[in-house]
Amino acid sequence: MDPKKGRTFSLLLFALLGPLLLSGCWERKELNEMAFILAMGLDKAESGYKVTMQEVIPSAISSQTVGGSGGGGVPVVVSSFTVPTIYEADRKHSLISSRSGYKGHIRVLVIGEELARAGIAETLDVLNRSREPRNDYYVMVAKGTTAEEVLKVLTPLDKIPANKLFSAMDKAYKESAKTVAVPLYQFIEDMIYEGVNPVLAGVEVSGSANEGSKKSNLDESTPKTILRYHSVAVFKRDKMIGWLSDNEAIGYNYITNKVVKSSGPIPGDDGRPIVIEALHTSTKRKVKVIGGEPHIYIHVKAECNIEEVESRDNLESEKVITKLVKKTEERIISRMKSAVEQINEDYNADIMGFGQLIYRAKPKVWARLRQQKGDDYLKSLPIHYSASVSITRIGVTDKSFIGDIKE
Amino acid sequence: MKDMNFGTLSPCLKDNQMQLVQLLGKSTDLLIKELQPDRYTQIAVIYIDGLVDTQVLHNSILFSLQEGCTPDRLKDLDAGQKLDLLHKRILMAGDMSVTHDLKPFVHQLLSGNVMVMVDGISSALRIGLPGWEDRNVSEPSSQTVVRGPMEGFTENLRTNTALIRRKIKDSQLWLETVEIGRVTQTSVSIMYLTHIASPDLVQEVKRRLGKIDIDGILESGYIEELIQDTVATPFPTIYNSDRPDTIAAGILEGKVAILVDGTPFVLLVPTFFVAFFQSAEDYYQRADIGSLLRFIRFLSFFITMLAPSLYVAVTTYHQEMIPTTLVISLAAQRESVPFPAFVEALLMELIYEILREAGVRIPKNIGQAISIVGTLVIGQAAVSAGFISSAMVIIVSITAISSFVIPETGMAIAARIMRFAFIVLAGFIGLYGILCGVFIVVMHLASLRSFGMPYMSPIAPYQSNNLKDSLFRFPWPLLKSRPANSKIQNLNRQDTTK
Repeated sequence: MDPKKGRTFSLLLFALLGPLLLSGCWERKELNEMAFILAMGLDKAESGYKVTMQEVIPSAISSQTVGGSGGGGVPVVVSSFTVPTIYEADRKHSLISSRSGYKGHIRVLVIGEELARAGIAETLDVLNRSREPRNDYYVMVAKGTTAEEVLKVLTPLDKIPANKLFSAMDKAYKESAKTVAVPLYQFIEDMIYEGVNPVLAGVEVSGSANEGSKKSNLDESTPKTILRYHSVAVFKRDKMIGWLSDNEAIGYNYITNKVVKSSGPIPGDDGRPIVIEALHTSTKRKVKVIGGEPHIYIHVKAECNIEEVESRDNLESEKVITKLVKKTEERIISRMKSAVEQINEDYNADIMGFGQLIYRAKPKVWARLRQQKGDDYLKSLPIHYSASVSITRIGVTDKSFIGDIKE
Repeated sequence: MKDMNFGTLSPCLKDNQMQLVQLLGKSTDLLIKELQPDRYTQIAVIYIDGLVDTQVLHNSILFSLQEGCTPDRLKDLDAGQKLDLLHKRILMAGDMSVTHDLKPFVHQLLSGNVMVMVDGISSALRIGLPGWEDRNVSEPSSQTVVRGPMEGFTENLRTNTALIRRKIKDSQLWLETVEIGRVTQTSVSIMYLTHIASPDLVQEVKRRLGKIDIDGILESGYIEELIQDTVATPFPTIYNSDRPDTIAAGILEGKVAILVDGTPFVLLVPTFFVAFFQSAEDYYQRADIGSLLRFIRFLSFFITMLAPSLYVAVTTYHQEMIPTTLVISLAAQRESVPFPAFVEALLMELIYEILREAGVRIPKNIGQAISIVGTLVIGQAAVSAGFISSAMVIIVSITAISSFVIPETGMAIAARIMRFAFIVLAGFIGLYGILCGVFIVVMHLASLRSFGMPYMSPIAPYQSNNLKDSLFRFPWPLLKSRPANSKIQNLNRQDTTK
């Protein structure tokens, strides 16, 4: 390239690079200019919605605060707005706050039971559309109360209630199968997919929410008000229709392969309980078409440990263990069976996703099934359960010392 | 510059002496010792005081002249024969020759030679007897190692060439010397292995050295800037080291070493980007740690270049990328900081650069003060005064420490300079700006050449075989061939047939 051309070329390149800077400091926000909204709550109001935002006060959280008082005060600010549309809440928020709200770090979305029963699809659009939140935060239903009440409660240990709700859920669904952890995107997917209905975890306030919103709630070793995950909300499309009991929730989790750990007592030969904990479980679900009818096959594989023994059974013996294995298998099967029966009877909502399973495996069979039976396909769907359990460890001792106590 | 009008040596000793005194402006260190062994013979010993070894001069040269020039030996000889007698019979020195012209005469005089003249002939006897105060060979200061040779180059060119010769005892190690600098007349030597180094490369080095026209060369940095391929780049395209083992290793890989009299820093061409992340120690320690350390050096390069800008970009544009707990903690730290993160970063980096420069310039015995001011005032007080956030102090510290991991300071300097550009880019357009910046830097790096060879090789152009000893350091048994990126003649380092 001759030097003149090279010069022109490099000038042109610079001219092209120039516009990169034109966007300037668009969207530049300093950390101390924004209010981090860590939790949002949605409730039904007389007209429109009530939107609750839980914002963190950074200086109250950090142990090492510069120049400020630090450490004192409540860790969060909760503000509620009654608005005709959800987005309007941001505008109202700007009227009361010195900082603009930032939704990029939302950890949980709480939906009041009343709103959930009335249908929530319309309210979720704004959250799904906005580019700030990440869509992987957990959604839950405030059982028997409003989202505002739930978000008001201050929690010890984890100073930010939203964080507590998030971490507790993250842990709870792994360590006990009695709840479900559903992020927003999954909830929306389950809502729009064929042959499956969504569920959400329920959260309840035990104690008075007003007491819980005071700082005194943190000053006692037994807080007056606590937040607790309890039962699972069943939805039909976007409307909530009821709650699952703990046992049904466990059964549901087994069927949908969501159990990480679960435990329960199995009666020993003398009727006293032996607690068995499932450590690794996996559920395989299959569809077979027999005589034109789809059959669902569910097989649970569980690796278990024995955790607590009150029975006098001799755990050294192979026979006892084999018997326990058999009983555990039966128990898992009965859990799933009774959960499905109960759900069919009470709600007739396919939260297990059997319809989707058939649709994915045999779309034509699914189309025929829908045509023949409509929404009631679930009731007559043949389901076959099986389980294989292996007990790998019985702890650091074999039979319990209880039997050796001298009379 | 006004060129001196050099005449020729005159047969008359007195004329020559007059001419010399005139030429050197009656400099007082010009000493002329006159001898008159008999009535018809006049001998002058001329030297510059301080540049010659006076001990040897007195004990050997002057003594031999005194003793050897007896009147009966000098009888019936003409001036030429007398000079020959001195040359061949009387004076005993290894480095001797005869000079006829005034210009080389003066040059030799000024480079530590003793000149002996006899009246009646227009020639002079040159005796190489340089002897000035010199620094001893000591530990290299800029590229230290834990394991490896502890000797470094000195300011003396001859010592330096000897240090390399002692490592490579091969007849094919050639040494060529030219004088550069119209006034300083600095000796510049190139050393290379003629059976390995590419003849084109050697030719090119000589051509570029020959093109230099400058009044003085005081350090190899002059040469480096005058012969590099591209001036407009922050990246060094010529490697320098004060370690003889590093230079010897380069010569063994077919590179050309350029030694400059008066500096311990020897240049090595051509040079590739990866060479700046290699330490001599990589080859002396086990291969696995060598590879790991190289990885850490590359990582440090990116940290020192990008850490502050990434922090600025992420905290002001991409808050969603920071884990929630951290973002709250960062927000708490920033609670009472009056400046935007961008200004804060620029300010802190500037303060660090000032501290660093002060640390280099400050006299050693008050260096303690600067470290106290640095740690206490900047680190502690500024944070508790709410002037800057403690996260920024951490970022600046890690940046500063990382910059010292890169073994060659030239590359660390490049990263330091670009760091500021990146902070500005991040302050304007966030990660997008950093991405654009990195893109431009990579394009620039790919366009660089060192003595015509692509700077980024073996990464671009990609040569998988050469990765063995660039990003990684394979064990010696696997490094059978020399790196081919210098276009060398002979690739086999070890016998590959075995």
